[in-house]
Parts: sequence; C-alpha cells; structure tokens
Amino acid sequence: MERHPADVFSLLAGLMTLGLGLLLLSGGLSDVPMEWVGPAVAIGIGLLIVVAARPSRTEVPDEPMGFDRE
Amino acid sequence: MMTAMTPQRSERSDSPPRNLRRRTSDRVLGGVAGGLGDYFNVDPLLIRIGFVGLMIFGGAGLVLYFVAWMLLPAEGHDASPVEAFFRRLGLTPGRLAWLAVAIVAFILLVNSWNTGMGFSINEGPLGIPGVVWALAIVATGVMLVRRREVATGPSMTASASAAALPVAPAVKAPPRPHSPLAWYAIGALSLTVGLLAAFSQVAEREVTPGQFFGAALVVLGIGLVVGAWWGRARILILLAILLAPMGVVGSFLTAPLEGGVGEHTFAPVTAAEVQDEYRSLGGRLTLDLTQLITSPRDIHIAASVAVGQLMVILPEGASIELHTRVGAGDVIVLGSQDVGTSLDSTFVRRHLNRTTFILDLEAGIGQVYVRTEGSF
Repeated sequence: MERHPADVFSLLAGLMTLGLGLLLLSGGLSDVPMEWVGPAVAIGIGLLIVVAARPSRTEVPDEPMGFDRE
Repeated sequence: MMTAMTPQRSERSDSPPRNLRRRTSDRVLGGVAGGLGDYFNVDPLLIRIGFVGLMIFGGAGLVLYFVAWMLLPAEGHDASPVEAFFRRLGLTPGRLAWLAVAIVAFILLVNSWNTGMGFSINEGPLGIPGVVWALAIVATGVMLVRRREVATGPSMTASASAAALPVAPAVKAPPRPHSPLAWYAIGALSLTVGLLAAFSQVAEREVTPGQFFGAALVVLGIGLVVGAWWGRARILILLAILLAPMGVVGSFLTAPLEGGVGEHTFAPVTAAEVQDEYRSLGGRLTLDLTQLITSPRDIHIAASVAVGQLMVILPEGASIELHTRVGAGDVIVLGSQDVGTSLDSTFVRRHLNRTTFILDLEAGIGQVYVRTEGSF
C-alpha cells in the first residue's frame, strides 16, 4: 500500500465509525441522551458532505502526458 | 399524399439484437419504462402506469424503478451503474462472492444468538453449533486476508507504451493500482467477530448483538482511518453505513432473542398451566392472568419480547411485584407511563391473604404494558 495525500473524507468517516463502534462495544449507547442523537447525526453528515464537496487540490498538468518527454 | 412520419420510439424494430437498456432519449425520468417498453414491445405508457400504481399502493414502484435504474445499462453502454461502480472499486465477481459469503456468515452468526447469555453450544443455524459458525467466520477472514491482489500488469504496460509515443492525443492517466486495504479490513472484521464469538463461548461471557456490531464498526473505522493516508478503502464507508443502524438497533436488544414471531396470547386458568417463562422474538405477547384461579403460593413469571409489545392483564386488586426492563421504548404500568431508553423499574403492591404475582417483564425495543382487568 502506497502513501498518498491525506484523504479527509475517509479520515472523518473513519473517526465517526470508530466512535460509534467504541460506543456500541462499551455498551454505552443507552447512556447517550436521545435528544442529542439527531443533531449529532446531522452534524456528522453535514461535515462529510462539506468535505466531499470540497474542490480537489490535486494539480492538473497543463499539457497532456506524453508531450514533454523529450 | 405522403406525410412525414415521426419515428416512434415505442415502435423500434430495426435493431436485430434486442438488449434490455434504459433509454437515453425520449424518456420521462430515467428511461426505465421506455427501455422496458422497447424490450417487451409494449407501450411504455402502460409500464409507467404500472410503476405509478405500485408507487401509490405501498410505495414499491419507487423502489422497483430505482433498482431497475441501477441494474439496467443505458443505451450505448455495456455496464449498469452498479456494475460500473463495482468495476471502479476493483470488485470482480469473485471478490463480490467472497464479500457475500462473509456477510451471510456474519448474519448467521448473529442469528445463532438464542440464549441471551451468548451463543449456544448445542444449537445454532442449521443445527450446527454456534462455535462452528464462529470458526467458519474466522476461516473466511483468514482466506480474505491471504487473498493476493490481482496484478494489473497488462493495463499498466499498455499505459506505459502509450505514454512513450511521441504523439498521444488523448492519453488517460494510468489506472490507480487497487489497494488491498479494504479486503484486509473486511478480513479483520470477520476475524474479530469470529474471535469475539469464540471468546463468548469459551469464557461464557455475555456479548450482546450490539457489541458484535460495535466490534465490526471499530475495525471498519480503523480501516478508514488508515486509508486516509495509506491505500484506499472508501468502500468501507458503505459497509459502515449498512452496519451502523443494525448496531444501534442491536444495542437495545437486551431481551433474550427467544420464542416465535407474531401475536401470541396466553390465558392460564390453573397454577399448573402457568409457565415459568414466556418468550417472543417479535410481535405481541399477551399474558392474560385474569382467569387464573388463585393459589396459596406466589406465582413467578418471566416474560419478554425482543421487539414488540408485552402486555400483561392482571386481576383487579391483585397483589403484584413487578420488575420491568425496556431497552428502548416505553413502560406503562397501571396507568403510569415512562418513555426512553434503558428503562428499569420496580413496582410493588401487596395485599394480605392474596396470591402475589411476581413478574419479571422485559422488552428489547418496544413496550411493556401492564393493566388490570377492565382498564386500558
């Protein structure tokens, strides 16, 4: 596996998944106030959408590959 | 006099091999009805009416239309959106089969939960002990982890030779090598769940369904975090989205997963007819004790519904000792209601010289409803 520039979308989704998993594993979900579940889910999804909608920072070469190989 | 005829899409007959495709033109929505009309040689309007009808009566039309749109390739294309998506992820039919095996094994393992105290050693799906299923999951995980990535040699070679040409009018970027990270994570998920199940067997420790899903999500989360810098594993997000709601629901299934599904009513008349336990997996379980001929001894009953309603009807003025537990839902005891999660309450009312009903009532997700005869 090669290292690549940070993928914020994967990172955010991973952290959210990890958090929920730990919560379920510890059996602590029943202690979470239910009135906060809706806002938390909405904030999480919103963050993911914002991150996914960001324009990519990858540079696009000006010329097609193969022209400047001299 | 000759008149110009406008070609009708529903009368297409000039294409010898008739393939089922979505229309890309002359369509109303996604071209599904038009494509089906072309294929079956019927007016697409009739198919549209069918979809709308199914949409109104139960909403199935919308689901069917969406599924058809996902599965049918568009005109001029060989692959449907689903096929194209899986191809983009590098999921070959063989790999998809492995994924299906892992998911089915996981579901079977979770379903083998039937004692409320862990996986049963003697019973399991298809009569096979739960521990065997656990080992099967572990084996699946090992095979997935050991699966070697298919080399992308030919396509890479082609790309390299294309790049070496002096003039390449439309050179596409070489395809990104497929990352094995997602498969490692899925394998690790199977391993973790299998080992957790085996642990619950060996150590006789209770592991709830919610904790199994929690362990699976932890593995997926780690895979995604790793994939943020090394390899790529965004496909795991789909799995996480699938498992997360199941985990949340499973975490509230604190009642024993025993009994049948549906509506069951029990109305014992004599003390001998009273069972120690009444269990239901889902639906409504009604326990009518109003006709019970009282006995000099106390009556102990444990009743539970994993998902649904547990209703107990008591004789007027009965002496009772209630202990109720609800994972998520509400408890109504003699007109007093409590709503929320992890509800745990005790209610005691004693009368001298009366039989005392000592009831242990539990609902995972749903309602425990206790009332007396004639009240609602």
